[in-house]
Formats: sequence, structure tokens, C-alpha cells
Amino acid sequence: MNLEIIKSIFSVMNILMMNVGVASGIIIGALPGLNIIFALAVLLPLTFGMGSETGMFLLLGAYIGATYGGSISAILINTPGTPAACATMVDGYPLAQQGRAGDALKTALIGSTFGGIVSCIALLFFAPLIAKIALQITSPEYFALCVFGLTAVIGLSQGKVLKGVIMAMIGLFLSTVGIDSATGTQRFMFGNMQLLAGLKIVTVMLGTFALSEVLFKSEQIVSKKTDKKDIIKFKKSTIKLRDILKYWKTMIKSSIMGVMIGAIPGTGAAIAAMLSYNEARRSSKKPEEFGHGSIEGVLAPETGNNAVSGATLIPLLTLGIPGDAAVAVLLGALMMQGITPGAALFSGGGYWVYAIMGGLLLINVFMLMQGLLFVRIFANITRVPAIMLIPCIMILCTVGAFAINNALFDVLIMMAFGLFGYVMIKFDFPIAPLTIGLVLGNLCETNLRRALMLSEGNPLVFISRPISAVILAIAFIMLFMPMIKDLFKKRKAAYVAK
Amino acid sequence: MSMEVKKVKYDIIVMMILMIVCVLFYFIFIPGQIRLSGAWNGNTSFSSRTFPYISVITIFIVSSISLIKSIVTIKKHKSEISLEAKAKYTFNKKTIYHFFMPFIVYLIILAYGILFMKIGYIFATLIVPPILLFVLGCKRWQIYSYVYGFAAIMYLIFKIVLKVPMP
Repeated sequence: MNLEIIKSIFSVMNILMMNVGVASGIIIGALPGLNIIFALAVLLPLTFGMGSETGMFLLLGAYIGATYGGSISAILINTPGTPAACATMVDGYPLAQQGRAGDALKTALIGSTFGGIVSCIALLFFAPLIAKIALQITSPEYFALCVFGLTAVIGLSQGKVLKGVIMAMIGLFLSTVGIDSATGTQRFMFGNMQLLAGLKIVTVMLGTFALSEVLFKSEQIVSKKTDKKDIIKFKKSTIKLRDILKYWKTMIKSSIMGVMIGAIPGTGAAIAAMLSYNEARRSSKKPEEFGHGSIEGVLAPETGNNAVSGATLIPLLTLGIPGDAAVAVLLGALMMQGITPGAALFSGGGYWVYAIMGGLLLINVFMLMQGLLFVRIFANITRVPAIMLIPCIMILCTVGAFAINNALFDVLIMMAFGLFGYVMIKFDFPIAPLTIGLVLGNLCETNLRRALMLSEGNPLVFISRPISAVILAIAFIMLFMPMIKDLFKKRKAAYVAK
Repeated sequence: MSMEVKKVKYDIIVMMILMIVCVLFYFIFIPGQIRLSGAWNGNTSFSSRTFPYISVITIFIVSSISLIKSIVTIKKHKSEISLEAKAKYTFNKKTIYHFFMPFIVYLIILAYGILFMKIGYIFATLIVPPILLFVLGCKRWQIYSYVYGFAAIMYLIFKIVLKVPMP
């Protein structure tokens, strides 16, 4: 079995796709406004013609690459390519202004690789342990976990909790389109046989994440909001590896923080990066350098945000619950290949799980190699004009949606969701809960149905079982925490005003 | 702050629309589109309609809460709104152009999707992207050629490597 996994990981096609994924991820991540989810959504259609592992490695490569890619534009043009690179910008851009863009990029690369590798090791170590516990879980607990996954992502939409709940519910509702797998009843098909298998996650994601972005970009272009920023010229790095590795304590601390945060659904790389940055500043010998171009200030957030990448796969692979929208796309890709993540994936030797873990480790090494060799090329990506992206994304989305089933119907569905996504974002509705709702819908309904049937329709089954009750309690605390915090803030402000 | 008030006003409209949609689904679409029959659906506490009903009812409740919240906010800022109403909002060619641009782009993309099926990838790609770039005000010919280059690469990847039967 072990030999089979190693053989599979090191096959020529898999190695090629890992590299293609990393390069595409870095390029997309480096383009301001295009994030990790976008990278995964547009690359997903490419995986249809590939073997399941090859496709997965392409997406994992893009996932890791895009997380690092966001730092390139943050350092060179003071605009984070992805939200996870916000903290990198604080010290990365001042370093670039001082003529040390190469040093900042190299530091970000080393930090990202280190964080990524630590994260893989954590995944390798913790996932099997959690999977063993997960095997004991039954329907009520699974339903509670689905609710937890949903509320965790809704909690991320700061100040928009109610809108987040609405979007998650729309996602759950959309997941019911097609044949009900338990009863064979047709639901919301409107006589269209193409909806028999339901709405395809890829089509919805291409529309809501990629096509809506095209519409926003067009709006920005005509209102001249994409004026050229001062792009700092790339300068070769002069910093030595040992100068970076002398901050090993920061690297280890940031990695651990990234892993811990990443393993909790609904947190994400941006939070890990910010916390790592703050901790590095707090414990630094030269805190006064932070904000003015500190190497440690670039190293900490980059290590932290990439340390999230492997850890987010822990709840996905063990429980089948995606921690954020990007991982939800990965889950969608796995399900399209006929693989249902969860504790059962570990049984029978866990071929799939260990292939993913091994692949992830290798992908981080490839990212380091590509980053060292092609950093100048990646730096030039930030110069691509936004206007060029619009027709390119249009072509990619159309062809990608068509490739799912070779049908125009999917293209039209994708376009409908593009408009829906644009309108909803315009009205301040977060899109990530919709994705999670759509992905978790089936699992949620199946387990709710099963739990209610076993308990003869008694809804108290969810709170009478201790594990499910605890999970639900945490889920609701996470959901209402931002509201409670707001209330306390307002009371405090009123008290101070008095 | 006036921007905030504007947002709240929009929220009221959106929430009301959502509530109407929920009512339509509850009374018309769910019973009409999910026909219950057989032992599976008839005799259990959880039919094929249950989950959609739960979703729709939750959306309705949350929209109502959001609506009430927005109305309370509007009432709090009443004086500001009356001031805002007095201020004249000027519509000129530019603002209308900016507002409609995403929708114009959307129609072009929709046309691309239809042409893609009717006349095929190559011809649709030759015609639509230049129109899109022109509408967006692109004057650099290099960008037109880069887009064609990208389209050619996509064609090679999907048609030859992935064997997708492109129209």
C-alpha cells in the first residue's frame, strides 16, 4: 500500500499537475482581487478529464500557490492579492520601498514553505487520530457538525450575520434541487431533466465567484478605480537563508498558531496571519521596526497563513466538514470524483488520505523551487491590466461550465448565478455561506432525516445526546458572538458617553 | 452616514422581496414542484418537502428580523433622511453609464454563451471578446492580441488535452 501511494504521488502526470497548480495559484493569487476560491473555481473544470488524484493535486497546488501568491502584490504594489496577505503588506511594502523587494519576497517564500510543511506534518499526525473518534459519530452528531460548519462560516461575515444566515439557507435550499436520494421524489426540476442530478457545485461557484468578479471589475474599470498603482521594480534578493532562519522561534510559533487556527472551521488564513504578526511584534527584540520594513514582520504572517493550508484539511478529511469556502470547493471536487470525505476514507489503509498528505508535502517543496527560480516572472504578473482579465475570465468560465456535461444548460446556469452573485454582493450579502450551504446541504438533510426517523420524529434527540448538544451549543455561540460583542460595545460606549 | 442610511433603505427592499419569494415558495412552488406519493413520503415525519420548508421558513424569519432592524435604524436617522431627501441627486450621462456597465457586460457575456453553442467556440471567441474590450474602452491593440492568445491556449487545453467536444 505504502509503495502504491508513493508511486502514485511521484508519477510524471501528478508531478506535472502539482507544478501547474502551484504556478496557476501563484499567478492568480498575485492578481489583486482574485482570491484562492477564484483560483480553485476556474481550475476545477480542468480536472474533469483527469484521474481523481491528478485533479486533486492540481487543485491542492493552486490552493497552496494562491496563498503564497497573495504576498507578491502585497509586497510590490501595496495591495494584498488575497485577504490572507493583508498582514504581509504592513512590512512587505516598506521593505520594497527600501529597495529590498527581493528580500521580502524570498522571506515570504521561505516562511510560506515552512508553514506549509509544518501544516502537512500536523495533518499527517492529527487526522488519523480524529478519524478514529469520528467513526463513533452517528446521525445527530453529524447533523450538529453540519450546523457547526455553517455557523462557523457565517460567523466570518463580520457584521452581516443575518445576511450570512440567509445565504446559507439559500445554499441549503438549492442543494435540494433534483432527485431526493432517499425517496426518489423530483424536487424543483420544472420539468427539466438536466436538473435530475441537481445543481452542480462547480457551475454555481464559477458563476458566483468568477463571473460576478468580472462584473465588478468592469464597474471598476469604467469608474477608473483601477488606476495604476506605484509598482515597485523587482530587485534581486541579497538576504541569506541563515538571516531568515535566525528567526526560527517566530517561524515555529507562527506555524503552530496557523495549524491551531486552521483546524477550527470558520477561521481562515487571514486571522492566522494577523495573530502571527501581532505575536511576532509582541515578542520581537526590535518591535520598533515593525511597520517600517521588518523581515520578521513578513516572515510571521506568511508562515502563519500557509500553516493553515494543511490544517484546514483536518476537519474536511476526517469529518467531511469544510472549514471555509476554499475547502468547500475542494470538497466539491472530491465529491465529483466519487470520493466522500469523512472517517470512512481512512478505512482500508486510507490510500486517498495519505496520497493527499504526501502530495501536499511535495507541493510545498515545488512552491519553494518555483518561487526561487521564477520570482521575477511572478513579480511581473502584478503589471497585468485588469481590463485584460475580463474577456479571459469570460472565456474560461464559459468553456469550464460547458466542459462539465458538454451542455449549454450548464453555461446558462453559471451565467444566472453570476448575476445572482453580483446582485447579492452589491447588497452586502456574503457568498461563502451560500457555497458551504450548497456543499453541506445533502449531508445535512440526510443526517437530519436519519436522526429524526431513528428517534421517531423527536427533535430533542439533538440535545439529549451530549456530543451533539455540545457541538450545537458551540455553533450557536459562534453565530451569536459577533452580535453579543456589538451589544457590549454599544453599552460600553453609552456608559462612557454618560 | 447618508451612505449607511441608503444601504439600510436598500436592505428594506431586499428583505421584503425575499419575504415575498419565501411566501411564494411556501404556498406555490414547494407543493407544486414536490409531489408526495408512496410510503416513503406519506407516512414519515420527514418528507421530501420538510428540508425545503425548513430553509424557506428560516429565510422568512431572518428576513423579517432584518427588516425590523432596518426600519428601527431608519427611524433613528429620520432627521438625516429628510435632509438627504432635500439634497438633489444629479443623474448625468456618466453616472448612468457607470451604473449600467456591469449589466451591458453581462449581456455581452450572455451573448457569448449563446454564440458559443450556435456558431462554435472559434467564431464566438473571434467576435465577442473584441466587442467586450471595445465597450470597456480598451485602446491598446496588444491587449486584444493577448486575449486571442489566451483563447487559443484554452482551446488547446480543453479540446486537445482534455478532449472536451467543443462546439
